[in-house]
Amino acid sequence: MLSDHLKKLTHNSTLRLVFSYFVVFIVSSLILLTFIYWSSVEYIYKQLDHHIKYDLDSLEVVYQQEGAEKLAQVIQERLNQKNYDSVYLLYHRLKTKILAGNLTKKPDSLSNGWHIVSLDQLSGAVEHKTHSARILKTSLSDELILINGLDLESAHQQEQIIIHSLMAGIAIVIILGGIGGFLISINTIKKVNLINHTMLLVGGGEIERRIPIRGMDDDFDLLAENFNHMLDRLQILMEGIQNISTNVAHDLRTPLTRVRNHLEFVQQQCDDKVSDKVELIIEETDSLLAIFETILNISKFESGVQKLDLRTLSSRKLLNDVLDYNEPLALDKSIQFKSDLNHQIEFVGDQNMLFLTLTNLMNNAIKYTPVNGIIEVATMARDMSRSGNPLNRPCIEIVIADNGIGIPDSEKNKVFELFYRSEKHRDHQGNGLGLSLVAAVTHLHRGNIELHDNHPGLKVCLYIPLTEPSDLNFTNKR
Amino acid sequence: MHILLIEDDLSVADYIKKGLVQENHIVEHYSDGKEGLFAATMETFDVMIVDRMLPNVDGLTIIRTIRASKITTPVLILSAMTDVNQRVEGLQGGANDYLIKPFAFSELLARITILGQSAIAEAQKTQLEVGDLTLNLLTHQVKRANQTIPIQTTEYRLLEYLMRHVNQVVSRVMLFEHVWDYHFDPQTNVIDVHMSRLRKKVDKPFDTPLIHTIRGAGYVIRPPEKADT
Repeated sequence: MLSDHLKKLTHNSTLRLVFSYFVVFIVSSLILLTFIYWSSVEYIYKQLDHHIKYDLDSLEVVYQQEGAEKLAQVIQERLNQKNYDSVYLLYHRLKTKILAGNLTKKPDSLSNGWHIVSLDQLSGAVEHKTHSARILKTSLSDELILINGLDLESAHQQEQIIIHSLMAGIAIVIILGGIGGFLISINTIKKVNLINHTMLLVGGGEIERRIPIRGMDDDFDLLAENFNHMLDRLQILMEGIQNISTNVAHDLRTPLTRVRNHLEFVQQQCDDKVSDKVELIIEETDSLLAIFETILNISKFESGVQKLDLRTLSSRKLLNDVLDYNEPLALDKSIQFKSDLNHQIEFVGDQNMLFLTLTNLMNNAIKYTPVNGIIEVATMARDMSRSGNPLNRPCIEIVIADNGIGIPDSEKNKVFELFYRSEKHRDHQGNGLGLSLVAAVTHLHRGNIELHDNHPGLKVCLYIPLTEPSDLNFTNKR
Repeated sequence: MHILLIEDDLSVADYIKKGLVQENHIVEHYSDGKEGLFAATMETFDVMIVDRMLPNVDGLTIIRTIRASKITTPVLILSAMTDVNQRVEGLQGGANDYLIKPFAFSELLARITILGQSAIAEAQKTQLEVGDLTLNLLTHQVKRANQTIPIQTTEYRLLEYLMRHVNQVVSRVMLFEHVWDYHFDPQTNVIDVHMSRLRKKVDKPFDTPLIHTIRGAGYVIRPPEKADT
């Protein structure tokens, strides 16, 4: 369930976009902060070096003007000021005695110039807080060596402070960026979902649905307005076409019924020979009327004018009724029914419409199955929310599988079109309306129909949601 | 029969009237709902044919009103082609049958004939008889000329419906509605196939057929002495 949810989220383009922006944002912030860190630390150490050099310069002046004795005295004075940050060492290269300073060992191995040394190596007794220092070793004369420098403690401290504040900065950037990104994407996803949901309802036949305008006057409102405008136009066009086709079918049906009734009267008043002829005409009229009736039904179902008479149905009763009703057709062709209706499934549907649908499917199966063939009928409850099916809710699956001539893959979608007849089926009687009607009833139930190869034959899988989806208004009104 | 027809579409009314008169029925026609309701409460009829949509008082109100005043005359509602729910509404309102326009006249005739007679022959029987064919309503046993005929449930129900309406034409849709209890026009010849299987059992092994096809209308069962009239 959770993984499904995550999978769904990763398929969300807004979330993906926001996430990529978030990553780019964090990487650029990291680069910027690293640069700030690097330049600040460099500045601290430059300042340190500058300070040491300045100190050395002043000591050199003392040495040149007043000699080594005075220099040692000045150094001692400076140390006495308890400036523990400073380290000094004045010594004679050849003599063991140190002239002045708070270091105890002579770093003979060091060359002249800048060094970072561990204070452990240079002092024992002197009290120092840290263990390294930046020092400058200078030869004042051939014999006299001066080392001055600064304890790195405070520099380290400053560096630590910078690191800590930069880390805090990064944390704030990540948290704020994450929250901001999340809020922005949730907001956008909500807006997109609203449009998506409405479009889904419209696609499901509720052409009168419109996307709510939030009054923010932003691009989403503009998109919604444009969509709504498009839907208005579509609805007007569709209603026009529907009215025309419905009116044509209806207007032809009434006079044709009248013709049929006149023929009936005529039939009663003529001799047997003519009566037989009239009977044929009546039969032809009846089949024409049946076609009109079916066209009208399809148009009613597709337009959502037809309200479904929804009841809780039992799968076993419905399927048994359908099998019972169609059985003699199968018996005439010695076709065997194999039914697995042991699962008692209760679901919500219009029993008359579903009977009509299933009878249509059974008639097809019987029609296209050879003599001595087998037709299998089975029902099962299926949770379509797990199978990646667009229905996404628990359904009843009704399978009608025959071993007849089947439908080629290339035509599996076309057979649901009005009046479409497969080249393979031309030898059989039919008007190409049956499957259109089946599809219309199925969609009105918010169900789905799939055609599969049964090797040989056709396997029809009909899915009808077990419960009336609460988000859809079933009793469609014009 | 004395039939009341309340229908505002004059061409439809005219042709129903013509057809029924030809079948020796007496028809009284009103095109206004109010006048129709008045007639329905003042006179006695065998059957009423009431249109759903009428000026002044609609069909459903007429039926509810006459049922409220304890008039039990069978009523058939006529309605323009609309949804199933209206049918249920009509039957709940007290109508006995429902027919959607446009309809074949034979269908209307078959239905009102049965409506008119069901009021009379509603006696409790345990056995139905047509000629030498008997159907036991308790044991579900079917016999002809004292021979038991093995019969399936569906065939039994078809035969029972036919035998309950002996000498009356029943349409394919009526058989479908009563035997399977689904309500729409199935528009297939499946009923004919069921009937031919039934006739194979009930009629074929015997000399005189009892079940007859009425062209363009449906089926009828009648005893042999009436077969040639």
